[in-house]
Amino acid sequence: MSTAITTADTQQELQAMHDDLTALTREVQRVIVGQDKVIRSVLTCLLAGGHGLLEGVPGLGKTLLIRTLASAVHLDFARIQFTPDLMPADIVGTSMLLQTEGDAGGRPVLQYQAGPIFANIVLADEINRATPKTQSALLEAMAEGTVTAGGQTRKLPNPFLVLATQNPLEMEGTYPLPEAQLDRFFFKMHVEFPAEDELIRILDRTTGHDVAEVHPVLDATRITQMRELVRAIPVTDSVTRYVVRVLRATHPDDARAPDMIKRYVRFGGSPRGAQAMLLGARIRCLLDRRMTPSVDDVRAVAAEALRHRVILNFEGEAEGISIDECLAKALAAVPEGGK
Amino acid sequence: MTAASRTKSLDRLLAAAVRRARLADAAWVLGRVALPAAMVIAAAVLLAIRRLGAPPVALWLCALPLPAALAWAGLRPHAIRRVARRLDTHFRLDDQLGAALELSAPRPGADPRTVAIITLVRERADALAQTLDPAAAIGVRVPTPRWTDAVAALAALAAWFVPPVHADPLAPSLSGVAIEPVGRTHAKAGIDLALAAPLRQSLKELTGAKDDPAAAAQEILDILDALERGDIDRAAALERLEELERELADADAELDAALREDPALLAEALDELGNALQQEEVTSEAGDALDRGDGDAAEAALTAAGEEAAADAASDAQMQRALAEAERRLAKQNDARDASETAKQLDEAERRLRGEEKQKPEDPEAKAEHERRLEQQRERVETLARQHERELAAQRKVEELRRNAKQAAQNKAGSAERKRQLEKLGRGMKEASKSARSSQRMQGAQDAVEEAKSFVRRSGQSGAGEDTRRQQFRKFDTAAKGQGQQQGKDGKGNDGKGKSTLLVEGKLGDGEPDGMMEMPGDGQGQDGQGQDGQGQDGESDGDGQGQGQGQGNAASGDGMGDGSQDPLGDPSRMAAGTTDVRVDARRGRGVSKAEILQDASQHGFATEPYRRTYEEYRDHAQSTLDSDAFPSAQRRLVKRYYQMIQGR
Repeated sequence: MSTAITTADTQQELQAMHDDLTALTREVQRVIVGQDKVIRSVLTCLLAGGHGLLEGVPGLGKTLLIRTLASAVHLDFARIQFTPDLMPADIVGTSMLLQTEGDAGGRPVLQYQAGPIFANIVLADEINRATPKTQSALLEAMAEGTVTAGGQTRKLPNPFLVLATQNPLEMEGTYPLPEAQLDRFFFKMHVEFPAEDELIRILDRTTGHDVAEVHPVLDATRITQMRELVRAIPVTDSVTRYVVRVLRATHPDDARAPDMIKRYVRFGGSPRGAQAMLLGARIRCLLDRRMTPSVDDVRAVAAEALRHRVILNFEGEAEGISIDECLAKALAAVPEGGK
Repeated sequence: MTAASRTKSLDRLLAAAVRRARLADAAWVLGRVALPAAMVIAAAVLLAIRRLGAPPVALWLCALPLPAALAWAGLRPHAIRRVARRLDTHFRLDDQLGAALELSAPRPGADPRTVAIITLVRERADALAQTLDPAAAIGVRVPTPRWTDAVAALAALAAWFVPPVHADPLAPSLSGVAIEPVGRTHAKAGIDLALAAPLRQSLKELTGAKDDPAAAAQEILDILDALERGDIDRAAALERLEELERELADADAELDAALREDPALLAEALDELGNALQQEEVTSEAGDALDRGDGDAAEAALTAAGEEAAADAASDAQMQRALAEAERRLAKQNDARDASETAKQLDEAERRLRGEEKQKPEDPEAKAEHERRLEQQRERVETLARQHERELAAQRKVEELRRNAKQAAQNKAGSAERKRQLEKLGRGMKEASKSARSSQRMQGAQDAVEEAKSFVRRSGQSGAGEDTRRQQFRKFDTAAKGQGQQQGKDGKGNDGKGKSTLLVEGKLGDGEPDGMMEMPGDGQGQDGQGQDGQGQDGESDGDGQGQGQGQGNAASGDGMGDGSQDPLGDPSRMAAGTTDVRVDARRGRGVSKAEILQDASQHGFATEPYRRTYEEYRDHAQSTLDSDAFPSAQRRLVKRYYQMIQGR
């Protein structure tokens, strides 16, 4: 393959990807009003192959957003409403004793009945309402892309994307996600309350007879292609170094960490946080029709990549310190191009 | 097209941006740093020129910040990546230029699509570079003035109006003589002791032996050096000098107690003896040694001369003439310095003592005064009695020398008797020289300590007057060393049509001289006989009842007037019908002493004829100082005068 051909092909490929993503975004926005940043973040999760956790008060369209996205990408979609009595088998599936017919001679056999996890896009609605035992059933699926049940490990479909939601207000009868499971989420997105004009448009769109129809614009193959192209995006050393420095700055024992981090943070971001920042920056530059990420891209995705990976200490919790504020301090403490 | 060739525009853009950044740096550093620094340096240099006498060429230092600032701007490293980031930020290019620069070479084994994207990135950056102007991103602006700039400007302006401290009114008459401003030659934090140069010269001469005065002289030199270097302060120097003075006083008391002959009489006799011996070649070496005060060398030289005379008839004739002349001069010396003068004074003092002792005042106050005068009179009688005894002893010694010389002259050359007489003469010379010299040296050391104390006390003085005094002295010192605009010409006097300068140390009170006065004259001193009408305020010792008290109260003058610009001198104030008569000095063959002195005053004191004349005069003064009871202040004055005019 000659470089000239590859360059032209790649340019076309980049252009096509941008067009597809633009079309996908347009389809989602036919249903979802506003929330552009969340839409971009969810798309980022889709292209990065990471899972997303959406946090917001009820009624902001979290579930609708994910359902719309699933409709627009022509992928299998499953929704699991997490409740305290939800069992792991309800998610990953179970082996059932079934009466066979025909050649089997009518003997009863154990047959595995796949759970809702076996879908391309899984909506784990109100994930913090399930017990830790049930939550942990997702752990293997999210990390390995496989499910082990009845002594057998089964591979999940590709692409596989878990988009979970949780309500930050209701603490009664909820089970906060453990750190290990939180770390499996690529991004943690805050769904903000819509602005006034957005609310007006929401009311217009949802209180009339017109119901917007969403048409699928992407399929699994195309998404896989796009995921490969994302990972081919070149990253400069300075950007990579910046990502590492930002991550280290979230650790209270790092010399470069700001005073706020040193005082209120118990643990900083994990290496998965750095991966999320770099991949997120790559996808962000592609969404903006650029071919290499910059430090600004890293800054833009740092909060969503790190806010669920940084853990406050008791003092920070007691004083109600915002993790986003700590992350902003860490970003400010790391100069662009510094050593 | 290769990737490298595709980034030419980007490279050009970055190079232009770096140049622009250097220009901006230069503008900033010139305005913010170099200009205020130049003004501060200008202020400092102006102050140095006005107050410390720095050369005007030092003003070039003000220009130093300019090349330094330009060098900094030109050599300051500019990271290309940082420059690219600056352009990206300004043009909101999301680091596209910087990334293209950084992604110049893809890693080996990279995804072909990654390589392709890198190529695309660089092409895009290159295309962007063609449309960008670095001047928009990197502005060149002169920094706005701050209050520090105003302070620097005011400092430079204020320094401009600082008056020079060394305004030199004598500059026309000092042309050609290098006068170093005070403070420049002594940058160290010591004390300027330039005025002590003659004293140092005398002290170095004193150190040439192994006795108490030599050790004391060396100690004084060390103290002066330490003071000048700043190793000790004036208080410490004075303390050490006073300690030395006490030690010398003890040593002098011991010497005085051990002294049997009057050293002044002996010195005069030896001077005559030396002059007599110098007249003949065979004995000239012995005469020279006596003249130097080296008794050992004189004895050895006389012995050698005797042996030479024994071997050669011509030498013997010379020897006989020299000894006869010596005998004649010593006899004359003994006659001239008759001890009967002291005997008369002693008789008179004893008579007054007896008279005092007969008085019996009743009033207690008068009684105390009587006791004091009685005590003074007794001390004077004792002093005169001791002096009388010493003079008698010295006369006996001189008579013995005379007799030895006579007998040696009368005996036949090579005879044992002549040899014995010569040995006795040589031994007598040696002993007399030692006795005379030890007292002189001790007195010299004590005077030197006193003079050094005076210098140390005055060395703390400062101000324009003191600086002017030092400058004048340096000029005088330069002339004394013969380092003026031209060396003195041996024996060639100047007829005096040019301008000459007469340096007079004057304005003396009870203590040390505190100023030098420079009197411009017209250079005709050779021909005129000026009479100084104001030079009469010297010492006045009264006779009779006031004698004892008069010494302490009346010695205030220096005997040296202020000089007169009239070569004929000021007219007499006496109510008499006087007529000023100009008398020309008689010119004979050769060079007169007047010519030598005038030539030296104009061209320096380093010539050999001047040196000889000086030594003759100084020896005469020294013998007077040694023989008479001079007050110490006056003795120091005379010695200092001779130190000042000493050729070096």
